[in-house]
Amino acid sequence: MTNFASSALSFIYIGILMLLASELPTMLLSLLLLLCLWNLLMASKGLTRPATLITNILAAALLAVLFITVDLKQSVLLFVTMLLQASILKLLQAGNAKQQQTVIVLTFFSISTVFLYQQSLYSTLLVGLFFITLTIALASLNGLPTTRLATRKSIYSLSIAVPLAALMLVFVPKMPAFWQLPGANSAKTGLNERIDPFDIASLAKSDELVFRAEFNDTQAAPPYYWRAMLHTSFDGKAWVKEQGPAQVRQDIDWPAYSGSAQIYLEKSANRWLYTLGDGVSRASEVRNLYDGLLQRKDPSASSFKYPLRYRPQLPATLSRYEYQFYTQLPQQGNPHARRLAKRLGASSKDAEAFASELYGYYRNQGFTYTLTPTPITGSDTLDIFLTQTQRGFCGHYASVSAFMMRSVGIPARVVSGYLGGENVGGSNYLSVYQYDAHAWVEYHDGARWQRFDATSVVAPERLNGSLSQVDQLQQEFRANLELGLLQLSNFESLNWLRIQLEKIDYTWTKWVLGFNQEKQNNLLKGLLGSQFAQYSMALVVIVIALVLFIVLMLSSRQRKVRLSFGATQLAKLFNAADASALLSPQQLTPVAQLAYLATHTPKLKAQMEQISRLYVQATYEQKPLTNKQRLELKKLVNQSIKIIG
Amino acid sequence: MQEKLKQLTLGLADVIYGKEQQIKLALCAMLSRGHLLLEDLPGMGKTTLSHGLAQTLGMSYQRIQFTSDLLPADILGASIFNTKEQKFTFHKGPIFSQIVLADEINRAGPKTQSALLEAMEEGCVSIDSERYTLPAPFFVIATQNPQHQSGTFPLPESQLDRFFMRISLGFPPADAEKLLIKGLGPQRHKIIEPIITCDELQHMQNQVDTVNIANTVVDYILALVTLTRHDRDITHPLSPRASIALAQGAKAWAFLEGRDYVMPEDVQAVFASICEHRVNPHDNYSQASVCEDILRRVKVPL
Repeated sequence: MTNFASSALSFIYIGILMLLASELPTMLLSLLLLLCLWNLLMASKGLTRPATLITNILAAALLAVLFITVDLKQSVLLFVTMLLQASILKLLQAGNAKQQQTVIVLTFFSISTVFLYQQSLYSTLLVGLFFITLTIALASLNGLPTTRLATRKSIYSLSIAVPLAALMLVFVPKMPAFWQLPGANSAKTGLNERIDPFDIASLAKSDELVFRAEFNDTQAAPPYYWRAMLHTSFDGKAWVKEQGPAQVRQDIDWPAYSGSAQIYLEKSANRWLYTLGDGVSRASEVRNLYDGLLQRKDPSASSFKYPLRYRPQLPATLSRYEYQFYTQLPQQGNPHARRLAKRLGASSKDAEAFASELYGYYRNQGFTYTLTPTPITGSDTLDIFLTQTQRGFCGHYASVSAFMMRSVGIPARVVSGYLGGENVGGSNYLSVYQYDAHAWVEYHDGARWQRFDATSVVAPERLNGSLSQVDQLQQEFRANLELGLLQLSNFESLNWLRIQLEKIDYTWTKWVLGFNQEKQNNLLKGLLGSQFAQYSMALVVIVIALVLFIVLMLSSRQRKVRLSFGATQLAKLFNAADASALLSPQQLTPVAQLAYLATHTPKLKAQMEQISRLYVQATYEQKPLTNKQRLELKKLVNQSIKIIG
Repeated sequence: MQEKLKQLTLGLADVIYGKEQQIKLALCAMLSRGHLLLEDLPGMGKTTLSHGLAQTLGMSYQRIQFTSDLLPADILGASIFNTKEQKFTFHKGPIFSQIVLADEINRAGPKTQSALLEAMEEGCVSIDSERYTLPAPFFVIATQNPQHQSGTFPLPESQLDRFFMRISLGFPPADAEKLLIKGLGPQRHKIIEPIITCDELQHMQNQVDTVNIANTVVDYILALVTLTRHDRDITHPLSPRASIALAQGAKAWAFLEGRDYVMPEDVQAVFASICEHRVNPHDNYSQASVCEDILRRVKVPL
């Protein structure tokens, strides 16, 4: 039993580590995995556990690795890793049932840490599987002899727990957290505050969901340019985001914003939010910035929902200072780009004409769009791109275009965000993935900011929708993608499956993860009437009392002792034998009593031997009888009673 | 493993004739990591049995003859001043071996007895505020003469409780004794080959721990001990230590029988040996008859 529980626990920890693999440092992760495998080996081979000294040395070594590889500022990760480490080491030591029960209690916490990093439907299902495995281990430690019985018990107990959990999710009023661990861990989104076009190539490889947008009434028409950040200064190599405090908009003309949508943001450690055109949001956690961008007040890494109102960007004139700000460039560098800009600028009368010249230049000079550009290093990277490689993706074109515009005095800035999104199965929401990351240019034509996206001439298909829907690029794109369901979307049925899963995941995100205080208030108001707010404390008490009551009821029902099937059959037989005075006058054990009956009543011999065998199997060996054996036992007992009677 | 066990029983049967049951009980105590008390008249083969056990198991072995003037230091060891190094060095006493035969334990004074029993319970010895761990496995076989013999200090109940089992060998069957008289019996000083190693013994002990014990059997053990607690004829009923020992002994017995599950029969087989020395009946009952009585009165649950 202990070996079974130990192996089950090893599997759970391997699973947890796999789920957290992207968060943990590789070295620590592999060490912990090794420990799990070692434990699995010990459990399967029944080897003796390592001495306390060895585990202590291991613990010290792991702690050292932990402090070297994990930044002390990442306190959440630090605590999670320490918990996992301690539990795995304890598991390594735990040789008997009692110690393993301690580990099981620890594991309930360890499993829950997964939710700090992953809350999607799939990880929730996996976590559910871990809990089932864990309770099976617990049941088997508590004397349930077979895995089947333990599984049944585990599923029974968890199925009691699920409605209780659902009840509590809906009815226990949600309160703000009592305390919070200090924020953001590692940033993982595809966008970067620094646009170095050689950097963003890795983005196309990630099919991680960034956010979902649900359009409230009418869906905006494509292309969807989701603006996230402005990169306003060029440092000679890359376009970087302007640092310093963001300027918050005060007076917002709400009715002027005609479009509205709900954005369901996946877990992210970044501050920036996404908007179409000029956007604002009424959510209290969102800051509305100038230039129609949005920012999050608290950059903690949990999923998040905000209402978005948007409209196209309005005409705006630039002040003298702004004009200077948006045309500044380093004194030196990229002479060819500057010369080329001058030449193109000479033949165009205004910014718009320059833009179309530039479009034409890209189109006619054989520039191509690729997700695997030739890496360019050294200085004057823009020149090398323009003259030699001429292959690149959005980042390249945006960098070069903005540079050239500024060099001829046209105010320009690079915008990064996402382009497109996948419209799932005709519904009114879009899923935007990391591979939709995009960068483009905004230039000022004297009246308003205009969008300039060189990708539209180099790869016009890119604008129609999500990157995955662009036929021409599909092959190249898939080759880049990690093996995921998307990669298999060539097959009709798999694509259907992917879309269905996507729908379920959407529902999960909307209804379970997005079930916040506001939604709960609305629901409860609907159920109890609007005066409910006053009685929320009373509701907590009532719900908790109800839950306790149900638990007590269930546990008191469990306490009744029931005779097992084997025992009832044997009792029946002995009663009958007693009535005919065939039983031994002495106190005998059941098996001895059966043997006594067999020797003193020879015609019962065959039956008694069989009954004895089945009874020993069911009661002492604790191997549950199969249905066939139960029938057999019943038949034998009835036969014998007939003979006795 | 079962093959080795059979060899072991046969090997021991060669040493001491006609005492299969007692040999099995002694092995049962060893497999349960418990200590053994042999109580019998002089000359019944107590020492021969313990000798045989030590040799077949291939463990280090020391014999301590208890006398009325034996002191704790004679058992545990003492710190002796070393004039060369100018400091005290600890000299380990005979208790530092895997099997200790404490012969005629009730001949020594209470102080000495409790020194031994202390070490048995703790698995280590503390002298001059230093702890010395005893070797593992550590197994004490104590012999004692029946209490009514002269020159004995009876062990108090609290110390008797530390012994996992008490068995008496009893007289040999007539034909076995005939062989003994003729000198065809086992030679006392015959060298016996070790049959199992220390590691194998520890492995077996671990396997005993994994023997299944069904709830009905646990209920049976509970019924047995509970009866002693409500019986007016018994002044000192069975402690929880006794019930744990009963379960453990029954597991070891089942293991010796080659099963991986306990049956009520196993509990009955070890009940007398485990419980007789722990109950204290009123004067007019003997410990043995009380235990028999308990077994007879408790119904085995289905």
